[in-house]
Amino acid sequence: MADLRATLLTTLSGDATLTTLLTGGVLDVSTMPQDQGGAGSAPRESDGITIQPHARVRFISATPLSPARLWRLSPKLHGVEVYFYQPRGYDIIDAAMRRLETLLHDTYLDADDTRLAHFEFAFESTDLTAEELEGAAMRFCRFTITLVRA
Amino acid sequence: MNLGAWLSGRDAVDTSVRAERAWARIQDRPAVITLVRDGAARAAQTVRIEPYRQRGIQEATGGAGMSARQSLSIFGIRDHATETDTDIERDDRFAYDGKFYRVAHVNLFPGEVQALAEAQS
Repeated sequence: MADLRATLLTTLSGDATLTTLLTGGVLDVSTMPQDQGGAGSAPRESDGITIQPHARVRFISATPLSPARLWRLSPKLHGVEVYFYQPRGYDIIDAAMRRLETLLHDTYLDADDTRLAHFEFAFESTDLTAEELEGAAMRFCRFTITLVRA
Repeated sequence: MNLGAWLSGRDAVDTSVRAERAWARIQDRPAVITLVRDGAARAAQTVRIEPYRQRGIQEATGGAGMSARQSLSIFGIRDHATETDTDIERDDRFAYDGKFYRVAHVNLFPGEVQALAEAQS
């Protein structure tokens, strides 16, 4: 098996529906170049210019969860954000977000470094543009993870 | 040139002469680019690209990425006697010298096209 980060990436990258929608793939922000994947490292269509629809996964900060009652388990409320991009329009992004919610909301992922990792949908952004990617269409969503480390 | 006529504003603009001068300036430092418009590549064109002089570094930061950005002018021609008009529109895209460009605005002048663009890398 693998740690939670790798397990989540494998889960998303291995989903046929997401893969069909996101031809540029599902990328892990933590493994991208120092600029965290600026214009120079965005996946492009065969013309070398148009940005491919893709997603980027970024884990965010964790906070203790009910430490007074559950201190023996040291549970944390962790989070993960998934950013979706396409060159223009939001149809692919919308479809990919719906699929992601189906895949992750109220689900458990088994990983080497966790005893429990429960995902819940928490937030979905409005339509945005990614100024760092030449104004590509962008939306992001956030899932909370109730996490108990192994 | 009739200086008196020019000062009074009666001197007609010779567009072809201006176009020839613009083409000469482009040839001094030409850049061959292929614009992509609505996902389709256009024919290759020769223009001149000149960055604005700016102090410091400009960066665009998003939730999951960060790019360096720079504003530039792209010079082309129109109404030249022998050369084809530069075909450039707002939101055209192209890559050149490792950077990715987006055209933000196009100004038309007698004999010349000047576009403002942003480069990211």
